[in-house]
Amino acid sequence: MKVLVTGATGLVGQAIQRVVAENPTDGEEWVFVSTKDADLTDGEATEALFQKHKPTHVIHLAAMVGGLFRNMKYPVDLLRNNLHINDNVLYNSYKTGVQKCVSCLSTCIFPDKTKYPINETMLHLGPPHPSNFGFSYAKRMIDIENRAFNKQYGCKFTSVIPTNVFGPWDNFNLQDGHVMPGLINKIFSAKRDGTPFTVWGTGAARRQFIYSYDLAKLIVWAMREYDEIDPIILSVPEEAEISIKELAEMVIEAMEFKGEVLYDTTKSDGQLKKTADNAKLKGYLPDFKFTDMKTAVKETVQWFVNNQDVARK
Amino acid sequence: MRIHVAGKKAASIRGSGPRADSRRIPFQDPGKRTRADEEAAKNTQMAACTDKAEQLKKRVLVTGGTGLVGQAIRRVVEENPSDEEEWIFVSSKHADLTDFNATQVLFKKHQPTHVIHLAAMVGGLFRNLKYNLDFWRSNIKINDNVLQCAFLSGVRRCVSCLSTCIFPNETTYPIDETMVHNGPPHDSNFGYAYAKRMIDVQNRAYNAQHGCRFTSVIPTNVFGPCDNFNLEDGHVMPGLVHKVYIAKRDNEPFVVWGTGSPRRQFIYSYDLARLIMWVLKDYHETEPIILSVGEEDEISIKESAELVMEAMDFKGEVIYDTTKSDGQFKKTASNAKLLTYMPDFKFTPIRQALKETCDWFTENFHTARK
Repeated sequence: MKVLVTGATGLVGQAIQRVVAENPTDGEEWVFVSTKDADLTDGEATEALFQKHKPTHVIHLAAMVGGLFRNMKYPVDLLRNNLHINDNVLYNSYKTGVQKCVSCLSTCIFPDKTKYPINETMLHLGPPHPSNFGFSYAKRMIDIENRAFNKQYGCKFTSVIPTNVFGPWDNFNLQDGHVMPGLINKIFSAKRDGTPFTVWGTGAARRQFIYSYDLAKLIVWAMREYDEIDPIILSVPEEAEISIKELAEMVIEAMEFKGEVLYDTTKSDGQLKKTADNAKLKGYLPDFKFTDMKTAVKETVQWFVNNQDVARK
Repeated sequence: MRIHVAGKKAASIRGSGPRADSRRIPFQDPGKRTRADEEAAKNTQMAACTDKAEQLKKRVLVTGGTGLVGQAIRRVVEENPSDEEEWIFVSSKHADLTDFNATQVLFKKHQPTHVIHLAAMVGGLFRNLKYNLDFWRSNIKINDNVLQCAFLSGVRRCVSCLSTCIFPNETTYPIDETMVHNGPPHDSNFGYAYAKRMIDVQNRAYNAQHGCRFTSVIPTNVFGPCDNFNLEDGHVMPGLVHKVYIAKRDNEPFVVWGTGSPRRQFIYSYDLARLIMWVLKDYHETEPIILSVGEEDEISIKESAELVMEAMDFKGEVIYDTTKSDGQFKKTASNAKLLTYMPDFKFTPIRQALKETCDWFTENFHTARK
């Protein structure tokens, strides 16, 4: 088995590298690539990459991503670059005879108007939130293309849908990054500068968080054993959903922050809930143990503190 | 006015009047295009839309120019000549639009100011079922290449063509323009349907990021001369015309598949062409617009069959093969949006439209696509 992992230097890719290093398997070779190795928006470059490595399996994490502002400003680039990346990877997977390709979607691509909890069958039931429609449609089309490759050629291409991922190697930028790394970065600065730590919003919004290390283990499992073409949500259960306030308190504890905490309620809370149903995952892996949240946050915080020189921020 | 099929008299395009080249964005390899270039293109394009350049010579590139709708547009253009306009009709013979470089060469050669984008990989039910992937990939590439080249060359307006078959399978009726993305399309042609839907998404993205004025139209069932009359691959109206022709020629019964009760709105290609020309000129929204006769003009397949028999003067036996599927019972589309813009638009009466179509088919039987 030769596994090609695209986007391997990112948040999830690094976690997969860790999982693979901890669990070496005879007869398996893992190739981790990033933009340095090939521009996946380019068909010829992608073809050359696949010709060079001739993978039997692919974990496709590469994407053009961004925070709210980038998404709103560059919908064409987010749509086109991701459509091209995804088509190049899937098409070359087909041409190379890849036995299994697992791509990565996101809960942010679900319909904006929906009931909760959301599940895998609801992905295409309405338009996504307008703020990131370029990215969302491009990601949704991975699922369409998986189905089309399966129908026409019998390919086994599938996808996973994580909820909010966090961990070492994340993007901690306050503008572009997500909520967890944002809180960590803010507390780091507040602690260092002796200033208050300000949480945007009331803290009431609720989210399910999945540690990148747990997600990596599940993605590797999906690559080995999940045989459906339809996507699978990879998330902690609904009852593990926590509020931004509870999250902030966990990060404060992990970073031993003793200063003032403010909630800037003039800032938007964003979506109040995005609850995803992990029943399908539970059906397959009833005994999977997620890393305890406090432990996961502590590891992430420690990584950020110790890697200021390489952390993206 | 010059009407031009690309590849013939190419040289005559040059020097055919004042050109807006001073404002034209020089052609660049998109891979080398920087953020600064993008900003410059956006500013230039937006300026070009609003200033006197709008009144300078229009050069309209029609992709899919030899198809059912393309030929109808050609007819409308010939009936309404203008010195201020140059029309270029291209087909797959002139460029493979699934290839970016070929599309770029085409745009560079013709330097269009406007585009009517009709080119697509299309097919009937069976072809769609078998090749969903090819329908998805080819159409995504064609559309992406045309829209990106339109953007890069500063095209002022681009009107693309969607279809009512891409709407959600489970829906309320009548369908309207706001409902395109409200659920999955019918499974049988999901590759084609999603690729077409992405035109609308891409139009909105280009408008949001670059201020481009790209839009789309959604016709209901189109029919007319130059259609695909193939019984496997074609649509219902040309299918009926072809069958009646054969039944008449061979003195056999004319067999209609199904009960004849499903209902459809038909739009004559000539009317659609006139409306597309209007959209190119005067419809300023990015959101699509349904181009159709009203709900009250919806007719059953049985009524359509009877109209075709009348047009072809067929007096033989008619059989309804009720073992065959009826397909979707109704696909009623609302043309309320069109009516608010064009309350006085007169559609060609269906009897006349069918007569012209049947006469064309009879006269061109040997060369018609079938």
